[in-house]
Amino acid sequence: MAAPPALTVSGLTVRFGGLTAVGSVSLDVPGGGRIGIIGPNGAGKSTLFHAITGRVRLTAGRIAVDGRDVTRWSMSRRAASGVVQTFQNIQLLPSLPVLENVMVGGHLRATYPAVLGFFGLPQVRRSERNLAAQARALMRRLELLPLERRRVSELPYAMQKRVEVARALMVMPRILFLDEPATGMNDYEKSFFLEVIRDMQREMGFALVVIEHDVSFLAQLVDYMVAMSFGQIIARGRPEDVIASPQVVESYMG
Amino acid sequence: MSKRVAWLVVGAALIAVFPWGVGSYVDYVACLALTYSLITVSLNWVMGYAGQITLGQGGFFAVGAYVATCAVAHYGWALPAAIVLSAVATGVLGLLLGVPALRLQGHYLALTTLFFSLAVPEVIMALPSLTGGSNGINMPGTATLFGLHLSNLRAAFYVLVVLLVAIILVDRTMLKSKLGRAFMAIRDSETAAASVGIPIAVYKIMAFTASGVVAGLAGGLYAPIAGYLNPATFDLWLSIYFFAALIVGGLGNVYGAVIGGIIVIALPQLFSQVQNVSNILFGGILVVVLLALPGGIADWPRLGTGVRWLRRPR
Repeated sequence: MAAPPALTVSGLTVRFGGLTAVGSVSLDVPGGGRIGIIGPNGAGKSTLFHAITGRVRLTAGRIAVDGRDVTRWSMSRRAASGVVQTFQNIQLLPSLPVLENVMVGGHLRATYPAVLGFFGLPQVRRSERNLAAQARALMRRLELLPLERRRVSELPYAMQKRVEVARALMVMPRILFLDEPATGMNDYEKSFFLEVIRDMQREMGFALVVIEHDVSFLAQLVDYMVAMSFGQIIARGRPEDVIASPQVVESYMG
Repeated sequence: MSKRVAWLVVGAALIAVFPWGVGSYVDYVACLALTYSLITVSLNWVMGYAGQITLGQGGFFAVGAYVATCAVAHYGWALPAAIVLSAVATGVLGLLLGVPALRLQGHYLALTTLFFSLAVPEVIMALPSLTGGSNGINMPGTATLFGLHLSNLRAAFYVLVVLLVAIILVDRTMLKSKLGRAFMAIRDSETAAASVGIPIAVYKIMAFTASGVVAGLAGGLYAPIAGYLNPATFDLWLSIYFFAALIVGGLGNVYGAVIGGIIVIALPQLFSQVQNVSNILFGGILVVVLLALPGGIADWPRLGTGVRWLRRPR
């Protein structure tokens, strides 16, 4: 029997009052797969992400990670199972420096009981040193190292997006969800980001699910694409086919 | 020897001679100020780091003081054990007070904790056989902390300084651990905190519990220093003073909390001649400080921006 997909979403529905934001969406994400999600504003893409990662409660449906039902799990518990996302509206810790913002992603891998954090015991210091080293390694890859001590609130938007990605990678995700990672980036930043995220994905082996409006950027990053409109999946398949499909063209025009 | 070490030596020397250079009234005020600083530092853990608004600190202080006094006066406990009992009791209360923080935020949480602080003196009044009710209760003069009589204000001063320095070190250490990062993550963005796997409920409750423990310790130490407790001392004003101390000193900054605790005690002393308007003067000064330094006194490097803001209101 084949291994279950890294993520199985079946019949996922989210209603806000009378409005159906996501209507019975089903989607499998294979381990190490790369999936892109496109669709006009309000199509329910971010809501789908939030329902999968646990930020938004789903009205109906089932979510499984490696065959394990996580539908009723809290957001933090799902993160612990490897479901990690970045946000369309960046969610950083604005008062803290870049290093701490990335290190917080290693929270679950700090091996000591939290209470010991009050006392500077050797095991705490050792664990913190390891986390800082891992955070710096990621920051080097994302060219954030020179900004280590800067508060994230002082950074330009594109840099803040990189910090958020570094933090998400620090969690060591099983499935990483990026919500519009290229927004606000210039062409140089986009190509840099594309290269880093591809390399990191190959090395760390996580599955990648990306929402992005820049379709040509997305097509270079993923090998499978899903188009959404009005909370439904209207097309899925190879990126070039999905982009060219009449339903997708119509949803963007119409 | 760096400049920093030299400053530390000078500071330590000044603190060491301080109680000998002033009268016993100033000694008493200094002990009170240190006690307030301790409590404001503990309040900062919940409000400054974990970002949860609370007006419960006066309640913890009262419970800590009364538990220690009752344990010594009624049950013959040794003072150190009684103070530990205070810290345990307020830790448990902190844990319970943390539970509403899981569902409530902002004003609602502030209101819940405010009622806790209001209820504590009422409960003290309702248990006269234990607490002496409105007559108050005396801490037996025989109680000593490892041979030290804390009614001797010089001894008390040094004990409080040592405890405050220890708590500041704990504070600094905690901030560099996953605990401090988790608190601040919850303060800055609960969504971000949850997205990296931080169990928010657990950490909120930890902040309230740890804060309760330290405030209870301060209360337990205050009991033998004051020698006599009366529920009127622990009215709601106390919680408001701690709250004000933290805001004026600087939310999220341990040194700001220390300075704030000292200021709320020291400042009213300056207007003791005009008792009836001292709260008005005090309030006025707080407003001026906050207009000039929106981040509190610990934010003094940015005084310039605050002053400019004063000159040309937006």
